[in-house]
Amino acid sequence: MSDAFLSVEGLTIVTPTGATLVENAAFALGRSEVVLLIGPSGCGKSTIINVLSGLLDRVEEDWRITGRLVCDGQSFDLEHQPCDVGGLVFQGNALFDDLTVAENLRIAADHANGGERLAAHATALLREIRPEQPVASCSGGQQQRVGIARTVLADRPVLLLDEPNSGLDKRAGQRLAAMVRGLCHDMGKPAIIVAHHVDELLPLADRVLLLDPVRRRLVHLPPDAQAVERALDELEGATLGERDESAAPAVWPIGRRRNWPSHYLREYFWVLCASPLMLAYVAAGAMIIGFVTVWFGFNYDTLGDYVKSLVHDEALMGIGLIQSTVAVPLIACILVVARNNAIITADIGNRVLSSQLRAMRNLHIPGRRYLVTAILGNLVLGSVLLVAAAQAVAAWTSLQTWRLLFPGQPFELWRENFFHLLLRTPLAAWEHAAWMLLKVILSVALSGGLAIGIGLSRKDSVLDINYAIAQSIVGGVTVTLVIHAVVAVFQF
Amino acid sequence: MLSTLTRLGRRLGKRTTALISLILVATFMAAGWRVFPWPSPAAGQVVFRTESGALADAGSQSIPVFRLDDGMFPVRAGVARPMGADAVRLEYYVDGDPAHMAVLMDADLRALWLLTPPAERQALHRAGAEFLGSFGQTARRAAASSVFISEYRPALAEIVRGALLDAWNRPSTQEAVREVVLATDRGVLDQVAAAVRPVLLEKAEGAVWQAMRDFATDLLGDKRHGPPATAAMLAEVLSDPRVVEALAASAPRLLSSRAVERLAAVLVEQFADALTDDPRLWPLVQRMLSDTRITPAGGMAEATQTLLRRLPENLIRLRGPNDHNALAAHILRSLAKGRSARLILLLSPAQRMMLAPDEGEALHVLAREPS
Repeated sequence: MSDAFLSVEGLTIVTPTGATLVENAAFALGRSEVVLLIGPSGCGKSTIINVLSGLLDRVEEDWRITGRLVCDGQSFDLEHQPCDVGGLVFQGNALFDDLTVAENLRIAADHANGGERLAAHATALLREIRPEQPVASCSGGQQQRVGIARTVLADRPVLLLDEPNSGLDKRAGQRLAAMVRGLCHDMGKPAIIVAHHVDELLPLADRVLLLDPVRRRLVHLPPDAQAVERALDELEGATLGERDESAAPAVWPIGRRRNWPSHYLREYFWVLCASPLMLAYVAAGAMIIGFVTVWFGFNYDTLGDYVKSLVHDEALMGIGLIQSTVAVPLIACILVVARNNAIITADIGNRVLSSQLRAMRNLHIPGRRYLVTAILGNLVLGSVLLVAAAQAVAAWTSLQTWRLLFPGQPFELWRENFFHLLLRTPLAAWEHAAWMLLKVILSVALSGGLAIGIGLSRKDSVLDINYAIAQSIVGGVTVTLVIHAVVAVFQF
Repeated sequence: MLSTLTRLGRRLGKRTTALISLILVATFMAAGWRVFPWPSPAAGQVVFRTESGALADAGSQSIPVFRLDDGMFPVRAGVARPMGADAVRLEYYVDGDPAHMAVLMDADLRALWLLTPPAERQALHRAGAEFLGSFGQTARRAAASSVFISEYRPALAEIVRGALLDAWNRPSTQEAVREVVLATDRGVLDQVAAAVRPVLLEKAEGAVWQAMRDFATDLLGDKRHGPPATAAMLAEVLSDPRVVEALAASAPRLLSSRAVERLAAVLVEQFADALTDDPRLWPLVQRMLSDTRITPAGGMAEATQTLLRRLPENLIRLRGPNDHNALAAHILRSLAKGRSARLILLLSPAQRMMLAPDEGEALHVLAREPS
């Protein structure tokens, strides 16, 4: 193994439950070598590639791993050093479905050291896919190639594929194997493919590693079935030949380097604060508040017409103060929190369930930081802007309602009284504004944090996401109500 | 969810949805801009001079400004801000007509009465007269009823007697008495006091009813003819033959004294105070007024209802269910709060003549400062 590109010795993996998956195992990979990792279900194949890609959470889940890994001259003590030499293509591809195909590639390249020089290799896999195409509109095979291309751009020493041929027919599996074979050859990097069904992969594999769960060892096997291998070699040659014919330059560039923090900031600003739906939703709530406070404030049953006129000024002052300082901030925050908590939890929950966050981690994308910063920043800034918009709409609606109730009166009479208590003195106005900012920012930030926390929790199914959304809405609205009530007590 | 929304946005086109958002935001900003009281100058500002010191007690409290519409209905037209004791700055909601004069008025019922058109004043007069007549009849019937004589009259007499004794024993009265004693012969005083006391007690009961009528008349803002109830009682006491006889003998010596004049004034004042301070009086009066045996149901009901209907209609002058008379509301709120307040009325020459042809000289017309 002296010329091995990657070598692992003394590898032992013990699960959090104490089961030993592999004990004192060793294997090596040469440059451009394609190795199949096979074994019965649940024997630990995926765990080995998670170890190589640095995705095993040893601290929280109490995995015990020992051994030494040397890759391209770099040595890792697996017991103490996290190792992420492997770029992983996830079983479900874990594509970022809020990004286009090109953006999925761009974000990986932007977080890798040498991603740009591999752009041709990556985009050569995607010739019939348009760069601006949403990943959701790609077929299963296309999505898989986008996932492989994205991992290629991450520029990791080893390419890891977790059951890439599951769900593919034999022919598609063969094309996939040929593609991986070609990639490894072109890039000079080895690949480990975890697979159950190996018939179509064997011909293109250099070696096979069998994970023996009984003896807890990795058994080295040559690819067998010579006759089949020969037939597959012919097919491989045809496939490679076809590929070579079109080994033209990349059909499209992945674009310039992007500022991803600002990308997520803009994306979440749009969805959480500035989309027409959000603006219309908050405006509708504000209009209802503006109407209800004035209409029912003056049309309370016990108020006769004469009393209504007599108490007009004071009633309007009170309505103006309560509407501006209590009702509108509260309702606007509840609307914002209920909607945005649902969106945030669903979005993050989906990223968790589909391994997008793990993929980000594997691609060295600080996904959590991007998402949390973008979400909380937009929640705070957006909620202040949305509450300001709600104040404007509610006040305007109050004026129109007042005009219905008291036709013929000058608009200035409404304005003089409606804002009287709120703007009695500059100091009072600033005090009210400060209290309002405090409760809006506090309630929205805490509710948003709750939504993120619930979204990041473990998700095993879509049902888990649904429950998380409900928890997030209830928790966020409760937090909002409590904070507004407590602040109002201190405010008045 | 995010991807669904993103897809929806993409379907509409980013530019289209962004344009929709921009339009919405611009609409919200325009709405806020329209209604928020930005510190911009009012439509027009004019400084007016008042009579010297007329606003000395106004402080910084702003004064509402009203104009009258074509139907002589008051509508808010701006706000005036005092500038010292004898000037105000009028900030009009819309540009003021230079031909209009600004009249400074106290916010009391007189201002409301002044703005009441003649026909409505007549209607109020009639309703008030009917009410007072009904009230008087009811009071007379009540006073003559056996229930009143047996149940209420002794209690009332006791309250009046107690008030008189209380008034007599109060330090200010005793001080006045001491002054009289020092200035007058003791024997003469005893003689007059012995004659006056029973007459005083007797007349005081009737004075209570008269005082209540006076109160009602004052409340309606009607001009009351004749002296107040306490003065009338004193006049009746002094004209009683028994008192006249006693006074005749000692009048020259008594009435020549200023101390006696002061005693009479103090005694009347203290009696009124003692009467109103007595906690038994108002519960008794309330019980009496609600006692159907002496004030039968319907006796005053029609007159009262007529008055109560006329008052808002003619004085507050609401023209419909959703009307708002800002001037009447300002005055009545000031009265209810017990605060002195003012208002400024903008009048055209024709409106001024229509409203107060005889009181033009009495109106406090403000002098416009040259701009």
